[in-house]
Amino acid sequence: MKQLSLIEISFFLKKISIFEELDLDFLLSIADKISQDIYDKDEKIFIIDQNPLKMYFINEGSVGLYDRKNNLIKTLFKENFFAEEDIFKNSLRSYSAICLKDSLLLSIPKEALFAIISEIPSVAISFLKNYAKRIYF
Amino acid sequence: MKKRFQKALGIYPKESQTLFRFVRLAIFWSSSCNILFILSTSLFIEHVGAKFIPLSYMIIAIILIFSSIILIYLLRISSPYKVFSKVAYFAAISLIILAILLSKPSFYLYFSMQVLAYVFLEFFIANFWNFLDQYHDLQDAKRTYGIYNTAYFLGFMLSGTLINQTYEKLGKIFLISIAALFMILSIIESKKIHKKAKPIEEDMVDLLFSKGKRGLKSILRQFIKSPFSVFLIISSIIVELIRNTTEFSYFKGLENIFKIHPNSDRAIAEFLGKCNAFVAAFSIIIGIFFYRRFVKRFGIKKILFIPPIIFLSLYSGWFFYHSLFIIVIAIFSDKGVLDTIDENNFNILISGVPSKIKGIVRIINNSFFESVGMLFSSILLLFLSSNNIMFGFVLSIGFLSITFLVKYLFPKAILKNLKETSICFQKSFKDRIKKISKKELKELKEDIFAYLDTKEEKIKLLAIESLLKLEDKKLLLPIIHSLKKSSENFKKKFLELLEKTPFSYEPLIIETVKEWIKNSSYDLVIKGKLYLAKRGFIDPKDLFQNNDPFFLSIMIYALKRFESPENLKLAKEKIEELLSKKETFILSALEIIAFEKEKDFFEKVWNLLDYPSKNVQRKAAYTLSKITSKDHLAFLEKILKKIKNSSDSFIRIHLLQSLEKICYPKIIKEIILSTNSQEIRHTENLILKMGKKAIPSLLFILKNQKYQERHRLLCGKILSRIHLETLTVHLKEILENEIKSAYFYYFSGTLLQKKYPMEDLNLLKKALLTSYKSKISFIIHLIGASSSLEDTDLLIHSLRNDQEIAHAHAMETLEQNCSFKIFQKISPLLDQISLEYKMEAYEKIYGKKFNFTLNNLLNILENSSSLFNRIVAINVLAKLKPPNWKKFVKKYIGSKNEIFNQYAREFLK
Repeated sequence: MKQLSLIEISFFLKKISIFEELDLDFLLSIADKISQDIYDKDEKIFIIDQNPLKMYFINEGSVGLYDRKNNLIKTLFKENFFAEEDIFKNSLRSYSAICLKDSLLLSIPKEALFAIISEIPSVAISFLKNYAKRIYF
Repeated sequence: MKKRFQKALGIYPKESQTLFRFVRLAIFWSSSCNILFILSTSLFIEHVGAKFIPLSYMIIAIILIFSSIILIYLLRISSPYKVFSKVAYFAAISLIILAILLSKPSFYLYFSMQVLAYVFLEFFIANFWNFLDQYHDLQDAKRTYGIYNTAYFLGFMLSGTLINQTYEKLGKIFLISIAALFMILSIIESKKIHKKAKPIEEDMVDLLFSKGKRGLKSILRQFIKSPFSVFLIISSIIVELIRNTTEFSYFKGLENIFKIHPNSDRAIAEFLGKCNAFVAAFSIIIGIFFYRRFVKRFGIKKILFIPPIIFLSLYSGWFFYHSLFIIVIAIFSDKGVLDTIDENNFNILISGVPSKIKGIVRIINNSFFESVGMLFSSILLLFLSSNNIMFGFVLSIGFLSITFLVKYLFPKAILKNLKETSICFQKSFKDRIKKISKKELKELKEDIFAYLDTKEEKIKLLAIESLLKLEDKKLLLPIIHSLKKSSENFKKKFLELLEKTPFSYEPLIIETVKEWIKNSSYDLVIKGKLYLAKRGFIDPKDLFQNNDPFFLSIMIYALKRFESPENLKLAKEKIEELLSKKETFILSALEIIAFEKEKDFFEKVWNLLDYPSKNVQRKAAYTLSKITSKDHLAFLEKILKKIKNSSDSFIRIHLLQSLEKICYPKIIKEIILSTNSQEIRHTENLILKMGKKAIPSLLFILKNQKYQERHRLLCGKILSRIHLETLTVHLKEILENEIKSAYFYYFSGTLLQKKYPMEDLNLLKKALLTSYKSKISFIIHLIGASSSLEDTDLLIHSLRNDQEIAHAHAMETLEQNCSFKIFQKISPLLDQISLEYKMEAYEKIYGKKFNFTLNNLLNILENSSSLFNRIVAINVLAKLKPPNWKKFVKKYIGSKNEIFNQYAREFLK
């Protein structure tokens, strides 16, 4: 699996809903802080009760999220993101994340995520929109 | 007693438990390794001979180089703790086997013992510090690494004493068994640490410990990109060369001196044992009491020079003297100076290595590069054995030279690491491409081209935008080609993009737009024609018959391009016509006035600032910023008044830009005091243009605490750019006052509720702590303005950060960029230490204990430059109702500030 260049990461980020409003300069600045990791099938990304340090974006492959009883609660695919909730809640990981296929994941550290939100309000609004979509009355 | 002890050692209470666990661990492994080391050295000199030292170095180096690869592999699949523990198990088993084999010693056993002793020592040093790094940041390192080093020497001393006391009576097998026992104890201690201590949180995961599979190439690239890391490693290799040369030289000297002794092996062992015990005692004293204080007093940049200067002096002396005294000095320099001061320096300096490769640099340094140094020195010593002193002298000069480079690069490396933890939003795509190589540029283009065929228009537009920013004419053809299948809306966006590029007049583009307007929808035709008209590709005569108001704009541009007195007159009439129509057309007219810089319309545009529509007001302000010149001095007061009365940042910024064009120095104070946070850069540019004439006004505001900090800071920043010397002269006085105020706000905010437990003073507490933060920001920004430090926002953010590493790096950067006295005063406030320690520091700095009363506090808040503080003061007065409180509040009625006035009235009701 090929690792991405900085510009490729920027273009990938543009496809992610929370970053779609950003211009190239902002995208590159964020891409600069992104780490890329290749995971094998069934490899654990993180487990329940770990300290949340990163948020992840799926560039290639798919990821399963599992609860405490090891039930699959959600399957995520290319261009989906996960693991930011516990960072915002300031709590330990509430689910485990395991790769369902060989995957290329991009991740951004907690501090960088907070810096983005405080510097670019449109990202915060995109997060809110994203969460609002999940609320049903 | 415990507290005093902690203070003497510079330990904070919360860390003492972990610290003492690591101290115990260091004593255990160091005792074990040093028993083996001293014993093997004396047995080696006696039974194998000093002539085999270079050969043993060579073998040790080769083993270390190969084993470092295993070590790196182990670190990639597990954690520093696990590797430490595995090495300890291996060492314990080896020592037990050695104790058994020593009953039938041989030449090879002594040789192997010597090799093993070196390998274990290097392994433990590297792994112990790696393990330690997981629990300490840079500022912890400055305070506590000296203690850990001392613990290592305690083990050293313990082993030396044990050998001296028991070697004769109990023999070597007993001592090796004791070494095995110490090793088992270190396994137990490391387990306890792993279970109970909390590692520091680090966002930047070390590549070595990262879960993903990074290639060694990527790690190597990171290493080469950091000149500081490269020079640190070179310095380390030189140190290793000096160490081996010195050891070889004093072993050779010892062999000559002790060869007449009947039991020379025991005599050498005992002599080395004694020397080591003394060196260890010296190292302990330095480590516990002096190193930390020296670093605090003189800074790491000066301490770095102690080892090279000592070695230069040693080898200069060795040319002339070959006595036992010089050998003792050599042992002291090798075991004392290198292992205490230089090792501690290295442990602090390694914080300058990029976080991503810090762990790997430590391992590679201790196990690989030091071994390379050892191998290299062993080869050189084989050939230069009679010139060892000269070789040592040359190395000392090299050591000194490289130290200058390391000193120069360290602050830059720390700042770079700090930047790694933050995101630099100021760096544009164009800034980035300036720094890349031709090969990288080619790869970049290829990467972007791949997105030109995508069906996702937002991605395609981004790709085109990126290619246009590369400003390469050759790229236009593939871009135009990629537009063939695009939607009309996409083409309109493309035309907007083109406006900002240097290619807007390119024949290829013009022909393409002409093609589009032939058979496209009305919207794209208008957009296309407007684009062409602006550039003089539409004849106004063709438009005279068209009554469509949207074509008016096109016609005006066309008329302006086909210059003739009649055309220009007609264009003006058409602009007037547009201005008299509805909002959409007024906006078009304003755009034309701005684009064509039509100064004659200044008054008309000025009047539009009062137009009912916000869009028109904003466009008018934008247009004014384009057409104002020095001729509009008469509008100065009006513009200033408009800035003060407008709450719209866009309008204010553009009016400031108009003022910039008028450039009149007598209104500096008014401009600064009416500047909002979003307009700082514009005000800065405006006043910079006024030059030295602005200095008195800037200095007046900067020094006066009654003005708001943001305005004072703005003055400081501008002053640093106009005349840095003036700022430097007044800096100390300003900063000292501010630091004192910061202490006041911090202590009052923290102690307030404790002092008045019966009152609800939460609001007041918040106001005080906010003022404290504001003071700190002001101080750091001002320090940044007066030094070469650009990223003060990053520094402030990092100092407020809970993340220990970022905080520690920020402290280091601050220390490197401000005067020693100022840093000494401000550091207790910023350090992550308890209130008690901060209060003690205050007492030490100001010679008195901090004290305050509520009345005195309210009085200060009332006179504060912050409106919020004054409101809080009234609020608290009204709540607590002290005698004469109404009198206090009444004086604010009739205040110029309407909010404040209203607030005071409300309270009196």
